Amino acid sequence: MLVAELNSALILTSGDTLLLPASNQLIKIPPPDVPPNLTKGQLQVLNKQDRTITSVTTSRDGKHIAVSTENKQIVVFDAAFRIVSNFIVNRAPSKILFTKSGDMLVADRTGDVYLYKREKTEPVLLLGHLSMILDMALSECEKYIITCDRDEKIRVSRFPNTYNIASFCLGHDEFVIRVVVIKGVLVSASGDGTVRVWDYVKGAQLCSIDTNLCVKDEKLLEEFSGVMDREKVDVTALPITDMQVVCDGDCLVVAVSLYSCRDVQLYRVELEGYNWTVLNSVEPVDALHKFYLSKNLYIFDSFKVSVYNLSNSALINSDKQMDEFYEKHKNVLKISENEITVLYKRKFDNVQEYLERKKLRLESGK
Amino acid sequence: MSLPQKRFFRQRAHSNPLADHSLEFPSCPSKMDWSEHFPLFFTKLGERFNDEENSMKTKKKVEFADVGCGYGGLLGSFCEVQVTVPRADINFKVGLADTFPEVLSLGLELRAKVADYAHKKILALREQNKSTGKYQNISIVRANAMKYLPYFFEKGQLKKIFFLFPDPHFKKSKHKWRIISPHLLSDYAYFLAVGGLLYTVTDVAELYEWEIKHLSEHPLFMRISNESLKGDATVDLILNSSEESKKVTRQGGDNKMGEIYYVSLFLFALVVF
Repeated sequence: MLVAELNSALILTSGDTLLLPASNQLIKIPPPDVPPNLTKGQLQVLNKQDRTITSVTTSRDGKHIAVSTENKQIVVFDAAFRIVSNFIVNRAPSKILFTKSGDMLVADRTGDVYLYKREKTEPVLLLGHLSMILDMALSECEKYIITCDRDEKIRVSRFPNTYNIASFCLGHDEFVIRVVVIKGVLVSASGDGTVRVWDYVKGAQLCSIDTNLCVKDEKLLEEFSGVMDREKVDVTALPITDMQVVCDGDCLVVAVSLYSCRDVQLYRVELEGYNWTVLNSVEPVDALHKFYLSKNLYIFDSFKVSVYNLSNSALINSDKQMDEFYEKHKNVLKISENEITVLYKRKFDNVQEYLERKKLRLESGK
Repeated sequence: MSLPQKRFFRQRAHSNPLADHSLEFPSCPSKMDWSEHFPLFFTKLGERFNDEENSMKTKKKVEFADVGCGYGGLLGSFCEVQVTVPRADINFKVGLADTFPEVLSLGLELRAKVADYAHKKILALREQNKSTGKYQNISIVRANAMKYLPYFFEKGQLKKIFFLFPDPHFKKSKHKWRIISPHLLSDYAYFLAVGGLLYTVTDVAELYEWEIKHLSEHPLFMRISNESLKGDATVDLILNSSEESKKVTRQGGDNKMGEIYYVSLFLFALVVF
């Protein structure tokens, strides 16, 4: 399940469906426009594959919304949800973004970022990671593009001349799953359980928040590291599964969810001095599906949508229309099992074995 | 301390650069403890040299990087004696350690055994040359240069970067494993100082074409003409000292140098925006 906002109306996605509570509408992603010269075999493959939505984005002018799907399809809608374009890309996209001028940036799972111009020309390859790109952001001035990967790296490249790297923001100890640019700083979230704020042009860390300090139940980490231990992965923190940031006056408000934790943690970071404080966390009644942070904090659990006031974490009288819609379409809303555990590296160590073998050989005097 | 014997350190020529090897690297360049590699030039992380003269040394940085250094032939070689070189006009020296005594050079090698050999070799060379203090300016790390260079080097830190006889990866599906690629060139440009040099040598024509194509197309690199190559002492060093070039010379006979090698040299040029 994903959430986006177009002209202050929430848009939910679930599987291959867009759900629009404001207009009480469901839109299924149509099959792709298939170029005529495809073979029958290719056609079958394309038609069969699942069109689960992997990324959703809206343009800044509020005129367009685009989704990418599991079967390498990108569909662009206008504000009235009429299809503007529907095309296939070469590799499975993991994240899409509109630029100010309406071009589209597509990051894929093999680590490349392509620029699709509005005029339907061939896409331009902008940059590449040697690892899966997990998130991508454009700076507010659009002079920088920031990408983060399954390694511990955040890369800041000039945009559109991406061959010119401005910096690397290094410090995370695990995969980086979210990058957000807001108020001239970069906020990142990682599997190491930390949220970090960066001067992204310099690649300098401004502050780091260890979200695991706010986890009261120690058993959660024990359980998780027990599971990962069986896969020979060493974990020392519960990974962050989602992070969103909004600006509130001269502060940032950061909302974070952690693996297997039911609550949504909230932090306030001052933009001057980068001191941070913990705000009251918000706990849903039932298992957390998803949260969405804008002017208010929306929490989606298996029963209902709850809306909280950001400044005091108090429950606001919930949106009746939204509640009814949610109740009605609950069966459509599947939790996407986005298994975060696959992002951890199964490291193979052949050095230890080699050193031991060599020692034996030297001892035997060969 | 005797020099390690190569026959105990043989390894197949390939190592998957995209696999999740268990490697050790610092969380960022400023957290790298260089004192383990260059004890004469660095104190332990966080400590300082007491005297003035030595504190100047801590300001040193690694300026030459040999990516995929193999057995470390370019860094420093066994032999101190003059090696017979096919071209008589070369003033021959062995390795970066000798030719650039003031510069810190670091080799990077992914293959565990080979890196182990090179490391032991450097330690032995240092021990044998204790009186002169030679070979203190070269070292090696086992690292995946395709993924982890940003953890070792800062922006604009390197003056020279070497890619000698890299794995050609002939198959089309393996082209993304090649050490010279459009993506990685942007990384190398980031580590190189303005005016820094990228050296690449190969004895595989197909790879040479590939490298020339991508380096020429990259906006931040400019080719240096063959004419200008002649005066560069480093080029002679590359052709004569690296282990791979010795092997090629052994196998291919001595007078064919010009035919066997494809040397190219690229200057990193800053593009103003």
